[in-house]
Amino acid sequence: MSTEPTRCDIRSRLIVLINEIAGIPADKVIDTATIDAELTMESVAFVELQVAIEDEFNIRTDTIRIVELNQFGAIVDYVLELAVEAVA
Amino acid sequence: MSLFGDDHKAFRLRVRAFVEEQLLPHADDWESRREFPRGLIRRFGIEGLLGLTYPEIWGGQGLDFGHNVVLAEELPRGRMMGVTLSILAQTNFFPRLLETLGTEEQKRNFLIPSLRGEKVGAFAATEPSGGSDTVRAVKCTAVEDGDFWVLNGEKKYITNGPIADFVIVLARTRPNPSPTSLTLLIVPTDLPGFRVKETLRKLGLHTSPTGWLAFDDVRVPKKFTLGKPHLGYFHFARNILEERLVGGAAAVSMASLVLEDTIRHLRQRIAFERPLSKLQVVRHRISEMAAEVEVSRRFVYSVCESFRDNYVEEKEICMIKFHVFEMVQRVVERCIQLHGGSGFMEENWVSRVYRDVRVLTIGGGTSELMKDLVAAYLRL
Repeated sequence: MSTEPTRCDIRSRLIVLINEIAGIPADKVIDTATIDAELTMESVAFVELQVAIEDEFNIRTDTIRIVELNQFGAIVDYVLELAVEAVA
Repeated sequence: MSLFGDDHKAFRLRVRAFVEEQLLPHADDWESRREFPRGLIRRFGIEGLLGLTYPEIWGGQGLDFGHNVVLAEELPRGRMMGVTLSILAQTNFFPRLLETLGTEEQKRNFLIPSLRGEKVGAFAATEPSGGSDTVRAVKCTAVEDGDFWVLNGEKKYITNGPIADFVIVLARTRPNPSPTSLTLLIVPTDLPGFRVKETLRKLGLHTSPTGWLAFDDVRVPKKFTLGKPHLGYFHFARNILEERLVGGAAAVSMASLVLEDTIRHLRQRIAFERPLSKLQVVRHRISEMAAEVEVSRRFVYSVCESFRDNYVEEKEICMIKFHVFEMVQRVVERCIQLHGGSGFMEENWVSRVYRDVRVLTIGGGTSELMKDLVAAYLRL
């Protein structure tokens, strides 16, 4: 039986992925960091990160939704919502 | 469910007849004059061929994606890859953006007349500074001024740009080099400050007009913002997948036609007292190419079926863009060799195709960029 993921778990795994793929230091990835500023990355890295998130949590994400959410904290909540649905 | 049913077969016959009547007889003339008759768009519009997969409410035919594939496969029978490109640009390069993102007013003013062939549109992302690295290469800026964007910069290698009534421009609306810094704007070409700087002369695709466009303080009403401000890159990246997929179907069809013509030539051409088609080395070469074309065709069909069912296989579309297009170049090059001296002659349309297909691994996303994207999907 799958365990329902927690926000804390999702958040820490996302920080690892962002660091691995975009090279952004973990201490810069805070809830108020945005795709526009602290989390900016080139387009191919963005694709790779999205694929990595989908693989990691077994979900399908909406690119436009992610960039509209913009803030890391809000993206964590979005991924959490999808991940919970996925194990339900 | 298969991509094609009985209705697609009937549709294919109709398109084929139209292409053989309206395009094929003019191929040599238009190619030699490097001409794309602007009225051709209108003729395709009247025939109902520009809006196959768009809703009827916006002037489309409300048909499924298989019909779009049929059109892409039949256009090359006109023996002009330039015309094929310019028509597919009008059906697939920008109208989907208008359909999915446009306001009602935008659809009325730009989508409906485009699908009727009354207005020619173009999509402009690439600039003199680059194309593959879109996010950083876009220098064309749009600055807010009340109810307007003030647009400055240049766009280059724009299909149908020189004859366009409007251009959908990917412009920088934030200074930082982030994917969230670009916006799509619909720019009517009669706005002051727009000009066609040059109609570019190319190695091939002579029957498709390609433009270098300039924007000098063009005041674009904000109501012509297409989609969400600053998210233009993502809208563009999603839209171009359909263009690449339809292009894949057209390219495989072109390779198939060249191969058919080559086989016809090899059956007639006598050397060493028998037709060339009876020489083992030639037979093996043709068999290899036939296999390559067929494998690619079926791969493209498979991805098209998913696309029709609203499942966009992004990685596979990138694979088509480099793998299938490189196959087409390879097949055409080998067919030229099998034609011998006649394959090198201007009057042989295969020599034209040889020049035309060179662009396949450059335009609409280079092979190098596609391989980078596939690597990203594979998380290498």
